[in-house]
Amino acid sequence: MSTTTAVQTAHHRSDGVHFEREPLVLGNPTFHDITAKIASIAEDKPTPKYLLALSFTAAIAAWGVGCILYTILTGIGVWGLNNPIGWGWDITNFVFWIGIGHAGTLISAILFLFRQKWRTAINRSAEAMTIFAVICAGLFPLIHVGRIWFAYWLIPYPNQMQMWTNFRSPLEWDVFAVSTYLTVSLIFWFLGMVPDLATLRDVVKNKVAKRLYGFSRSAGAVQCDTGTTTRWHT
Amino acid sequence: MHPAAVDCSAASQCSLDGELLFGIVKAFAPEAVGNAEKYFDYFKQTVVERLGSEARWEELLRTGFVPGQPQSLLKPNLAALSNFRPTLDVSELAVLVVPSSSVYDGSHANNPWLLECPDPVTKHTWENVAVMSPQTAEKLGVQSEDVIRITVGSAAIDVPVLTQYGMHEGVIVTTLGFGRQAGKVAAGFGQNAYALLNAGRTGYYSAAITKTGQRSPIARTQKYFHAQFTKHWEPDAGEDKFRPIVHELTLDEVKSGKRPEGIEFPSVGSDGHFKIPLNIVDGYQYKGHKWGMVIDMSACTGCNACVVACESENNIPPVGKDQVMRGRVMHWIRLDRYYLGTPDDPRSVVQPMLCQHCENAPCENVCPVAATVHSPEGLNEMVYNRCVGTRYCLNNCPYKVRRFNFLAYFRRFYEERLGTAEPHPLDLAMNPDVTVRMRGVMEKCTFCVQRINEAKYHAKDQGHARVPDGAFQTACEQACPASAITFGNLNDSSSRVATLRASERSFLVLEELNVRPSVTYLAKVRNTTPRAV
Repeated sequence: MSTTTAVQTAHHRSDGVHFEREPLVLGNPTFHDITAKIASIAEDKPTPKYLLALSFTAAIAAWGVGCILYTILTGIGVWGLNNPIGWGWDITNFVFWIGIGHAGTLISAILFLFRQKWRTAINRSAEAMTIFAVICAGLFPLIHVGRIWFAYWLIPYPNQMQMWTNFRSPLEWDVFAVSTYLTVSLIFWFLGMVPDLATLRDVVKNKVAKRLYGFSRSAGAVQCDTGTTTRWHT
Repeated sequence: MHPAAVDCSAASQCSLDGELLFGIVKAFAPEAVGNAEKYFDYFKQTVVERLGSEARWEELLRTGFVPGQPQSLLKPNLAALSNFRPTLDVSELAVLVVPSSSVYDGSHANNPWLLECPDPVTKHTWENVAVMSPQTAEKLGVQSEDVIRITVGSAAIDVPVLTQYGMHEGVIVTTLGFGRQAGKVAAGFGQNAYALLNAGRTGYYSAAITKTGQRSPIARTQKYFHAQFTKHWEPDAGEDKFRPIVHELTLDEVKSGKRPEGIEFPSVGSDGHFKIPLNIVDGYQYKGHKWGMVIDMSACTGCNACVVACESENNIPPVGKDQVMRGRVMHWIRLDRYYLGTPDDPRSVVQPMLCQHCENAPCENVCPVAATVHSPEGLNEMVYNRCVGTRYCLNNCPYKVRRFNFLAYFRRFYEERLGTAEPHPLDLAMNPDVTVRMRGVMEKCTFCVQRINEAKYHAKDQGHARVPDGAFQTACEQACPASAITFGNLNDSSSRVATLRASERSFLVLEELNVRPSVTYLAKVRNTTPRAV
């Protein structure tokens, strides 16, 4: 892995003309540099600044969890909904977060289809943002229902009552739509991460971590981000 | 018998007034009452004597009247009317103090059903307010929910203002029955207007009005759609502002026997069924019973009897003033009041609105867990135990008749005030035939399905294939003093509902949505000159 080949490659057109395109990664790093950078995320100890930021966001998250628990234990009446306004901030926010998730999907998936190579630097984080946005969005249909402990009834599972969900309902379509979106985003995210997971598997010392990173080992030929099939030399 | 020894115990069968009077008479003029020991005995003796026999006394008790020669009618002295002059000189504003339409003079003040009953015109609940016309409010420089001080003589009360179209400019009305200090439910709501009464007489009083500068929120069940339904109400409103949700006819239009213009009812054919089937192949054929209701808006006075009857029959919880202010009243039937005419000369029409049990229900399509379904007899059934509480059905209902248990209303009200969810004997007021809904569950009018089922069992026992018309009544139908609500089997061509549905006055609310409601309304008739719409 200690090749010193430059990351950029020249492009060759079929009529023999070849030209150098703008470098995708500035600073002319080697593969080793990139590997080291990725490994440092997993290997380095968290800095005090990071811990401070983490505690701040964790406090906000805890406050959020507390509010959600209050809603679930007391009832939807703690929100401002009434008759005739059955949905308010809950569903609006759900749609908002789905929109945020779409932004990530736009960058990773749609720009990929249009072969926009400049997206590769932000691709992974955009997709990660999508995942978390969709998870955040998916919370709201759950917590906005009156009886969340029965929310699993929205999933069509076979039961002794032969009771299926109402497939005509757009909310039911939401169940399929959002779960499909989440699944597809997860797979796309994972696929993009495979080389980095392999790198981490090699670099990391901890046995358990090695195992976890290593389950992507079987990915031999991978569709990597440049759009060509390359064997990663691992 | 000394008056102080009058038996006022609960075991006494007679009214306290009668017993008291009897005791006084017996103490000071015992020969007048003979050998009667109690008021009831004296009363019965006197009546039996007057009627002639004990049998006629029993007949009186049973029927409530004494058949016999009608009394000659008194002839009113119409000439004396011209001598009538108001005894009170009211130069500025007059305050009219009247008993409340819900808690009367305060005898029912501790009854949460009645406290939550909206005033038939202003639709406010839970307290008394100073109702005045918008012009008066403007002159005084106040608006709704501003607190004013009404001073009559040396007494004064502070009540919030509520503006109401149709009020006379010189009159402010406030009601008795509120302002209690005692009573776990009643305490702290409203103001005691008895303070304003002179020698206890209700009527008009000359009053001084001052602003206090404070505001007090009023819980109203109908704040919106005051005035949208006639072209004249908002003079520059276009055609699209006029939505024919209520209809009003003149007597001439009704007498003509033809269906008046504007109340076409186009989707229903002469046989009473919808002309175009919902399904491209064939509509669902309702064999057996097809339950339907007809509400006569001309008979409806907006008295709220149906609202309270429904609340009583179906274990509907009261929610309290704070929740009414948030728009979460749980009444399954509500009385919508619409204005017609102009703001200066309004007429109002009351339309009872309940679940229309639509054949093509928008709520049934959108429930993700299929908690609301259609029965083969035409009922839209709400399955409480399946409901997850997504509230999509509430959003999709065009009539907005669904009620969601936002909090644990089934126990919250009494628990907060009385410490227990089912204080005895209020637990006996619950109907054992109807479930109590927990929080997070949607509910709505069921056409009293428990009464329907009971009637079907009885009919089956007696060997009838169908429930005979009039064998049972829904709670609202039973309570209505004007017989404005009729319920029955639409498939029975001789039933009252089927006959009324074919009337020229009948129409469906929001018919253009094609939801095919099972509730038909009969337009209000006014004995006036041609309709000024």
